[in-house]
Amino acid sequence: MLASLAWKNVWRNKKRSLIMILAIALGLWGSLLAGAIWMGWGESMVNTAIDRDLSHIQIHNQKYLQNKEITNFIPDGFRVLKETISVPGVKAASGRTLIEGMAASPISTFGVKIVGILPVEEKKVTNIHTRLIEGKYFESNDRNPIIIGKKLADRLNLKLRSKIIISFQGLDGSLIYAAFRIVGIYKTESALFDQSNVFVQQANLFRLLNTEPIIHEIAIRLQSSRLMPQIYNEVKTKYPNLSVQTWKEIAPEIAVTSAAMESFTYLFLTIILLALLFGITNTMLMSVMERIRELGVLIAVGMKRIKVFTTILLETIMLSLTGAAGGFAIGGITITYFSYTGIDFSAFASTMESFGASPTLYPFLPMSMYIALPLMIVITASLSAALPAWKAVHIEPATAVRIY
Amino acid sequence: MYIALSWRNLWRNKRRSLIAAASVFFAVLLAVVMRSVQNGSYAYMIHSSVKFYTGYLQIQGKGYWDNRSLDQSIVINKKQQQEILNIPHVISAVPRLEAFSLVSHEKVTKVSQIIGIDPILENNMTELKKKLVKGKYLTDSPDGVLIGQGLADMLKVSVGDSVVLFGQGYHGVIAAARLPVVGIVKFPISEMNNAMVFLPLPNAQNIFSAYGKITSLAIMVDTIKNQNKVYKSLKAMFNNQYTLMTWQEMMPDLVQGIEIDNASGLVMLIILYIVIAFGIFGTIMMMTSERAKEFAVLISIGMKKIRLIWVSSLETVFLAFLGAFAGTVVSLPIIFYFHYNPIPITGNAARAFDTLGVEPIFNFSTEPSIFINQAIVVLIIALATALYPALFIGKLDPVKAMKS
Repeated sequence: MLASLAWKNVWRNKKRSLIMILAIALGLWGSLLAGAIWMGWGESMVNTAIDRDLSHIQIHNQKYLQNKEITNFIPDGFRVLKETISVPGVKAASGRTLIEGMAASPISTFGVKIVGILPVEEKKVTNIHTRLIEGKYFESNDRNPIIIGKKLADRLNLKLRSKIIISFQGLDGSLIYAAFRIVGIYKTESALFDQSNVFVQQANLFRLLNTEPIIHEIAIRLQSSRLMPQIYNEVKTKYPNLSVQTWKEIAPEIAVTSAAMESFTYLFLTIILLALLFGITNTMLMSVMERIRELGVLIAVGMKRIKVFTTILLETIMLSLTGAAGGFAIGGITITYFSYTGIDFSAFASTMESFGASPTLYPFLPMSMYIALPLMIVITASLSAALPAWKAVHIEPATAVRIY
Repeated sequence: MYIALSWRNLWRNKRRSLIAAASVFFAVLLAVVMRSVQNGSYAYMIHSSVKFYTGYLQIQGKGYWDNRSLDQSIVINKKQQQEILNIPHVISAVPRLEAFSLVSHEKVTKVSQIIGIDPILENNMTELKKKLVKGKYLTDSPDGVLIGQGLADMLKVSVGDSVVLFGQGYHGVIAAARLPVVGIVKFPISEMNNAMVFLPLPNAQNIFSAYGKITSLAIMVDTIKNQNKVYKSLKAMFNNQYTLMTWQEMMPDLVQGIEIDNASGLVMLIILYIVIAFGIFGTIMMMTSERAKEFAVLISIGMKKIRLIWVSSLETVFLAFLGAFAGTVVSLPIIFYFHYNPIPITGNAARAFDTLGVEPIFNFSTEPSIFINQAIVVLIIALATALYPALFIGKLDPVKAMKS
């Protein structure tokens, strides 16, 4: 009864209600879309980092984390590698030999991380092989092939097929120098990564080091990121003496930034709802003042004040939810549309890349937001109804009927 | 006349006017605080990051920035340095010789950035002495190095031990030296903490066979506003002999970070203002249609429509200004308080800032333009909404309006 009364009241002054509904709809649409883009951005940052080098889970020697020395390799690393690949849910795993060294050309020298890989295995874990802008991914028969980043190539003024001198400390502490032939040049979203990571084949490193095969890092790619907590625990219990980390622990800044995007969206929605609160209060207050005589009569003929209060409250909530439904509808449609096509920000490509995100973003909103938002709107509506409803309840029927 | 009339009209329905003004007040307050913290943080970020190392401007050899080769080192003698210091707004000019080299202690070898500095000038600009955690600061005596804490831990050296430098000097000459560690410095940015080694400039020039040469001269300007003036003076002074780099070119990530943050801030502001505009519009619309009868009477007794339009437009403008003024006044103490007591950022978010090379602090700007811009935007919104009463009065048919 009250509900249908309230609903009819909303439409008594169509123009006024429509303006408010439009304001709510537009405000929500804008903030939902902006939020979805931020969320998409956060996810893109995470995904590019995972695809580039992080993968989902990494295993190291515990000592390696404190000191990235070549001697801190994973004991019996290849056995661990084999065992992890066979864990259900693991898509692929790659063992990496990591050495900090220097890359020199005739004109300059830079510090680099030398990543020794088995190309076949690494391909399954990261996507560097798809990021080559020149050359091939270890397909030639050169003696010491190497793949370097575009940024490093520029800094050292080197081209494809150039020779590069790599130097590093051997297992016994002696310095090892070796000439490598550049067979590929890659470019990722991160200039910092491109500048500091070079890829070589493990066999070449083992020959130079004159050692049995050793690995410092096992990068594990899962079939789905949802399996991460479960497999993380499994691997961790299996190897209590090794350091097992998820990408969130390895790169907390990326995890934080991507999580911050969600808080940021909520913060923005709150601000917009606060702004709407004023508008809704105003609209409802006027609606009450306009009907002061009518409300006075209702009270005079015996309508309970609590019912008057409820009517006004319902009216406000209905008005707000109508607007919210509109905002949700257009917001949902635009977000869904763009989540398939992607939004192309390539005009700002360099900016996006410096943040480690790809220039095409796929906006999305988490399910939780679709539940939280209507609640937030009902709260906003109730808050904005407070003053008008209070005003309506405190009408003095005699005065109201006589004066207005 | 008009002014007095419209002012009184505003106060005929106090509550409604106050709510409308409050929504403007809220928008302005929020916009001002948001812009203030954004702009303030930018200025602070820029100043603290350039002060940290690069300076606002740097004079370098041509091509040095791209390949960092000692072969592009330059000669800027004492007299020229003095001339640079004589340029108005220049605070300091700090010479440096930078090179990558291997640094070893006992069995451990690490790649490091070796920086030859003038201990006194360097400290004046970057406050290197304050970052000392152990030992003493560099003196003019040729022996001794300062070493980053992270690097010291990896090399397992402490004050009093010696490290061996081994690298490539000017024109490919081998550079090698054994030097005692006199102090350990700690940087918030781990890339610096794990890689930097400082030694007195003359000694660095000897070791790297770059006698009398430097790779860069970092220049601090008093505030960013004067950067362009100084840039022009320097350009005229060196007349294309050397490359003149700005911090924008040296730290593109910082520039882009600021741009992106600024852009998303503006998007938020636009959405917020749209919502506010609807709120104001709704209020004005109701105020107008409520007074249809009153307008009709005024017109029929001979009031010119144009005058009525004036009065009602002024009302809107008053309302907007009232809110904008109150918003500005209330935001002032908030902004000034936080301008002098910046908010530190803690936890994981602080780490994200560290990776950008910025001290994690929220700073507030007190630039007058922030306040003025918000006031202008609100005025524009008010003028746009004032069109409604103007159109309404223009179309008003007094006979019909009085009958309804």
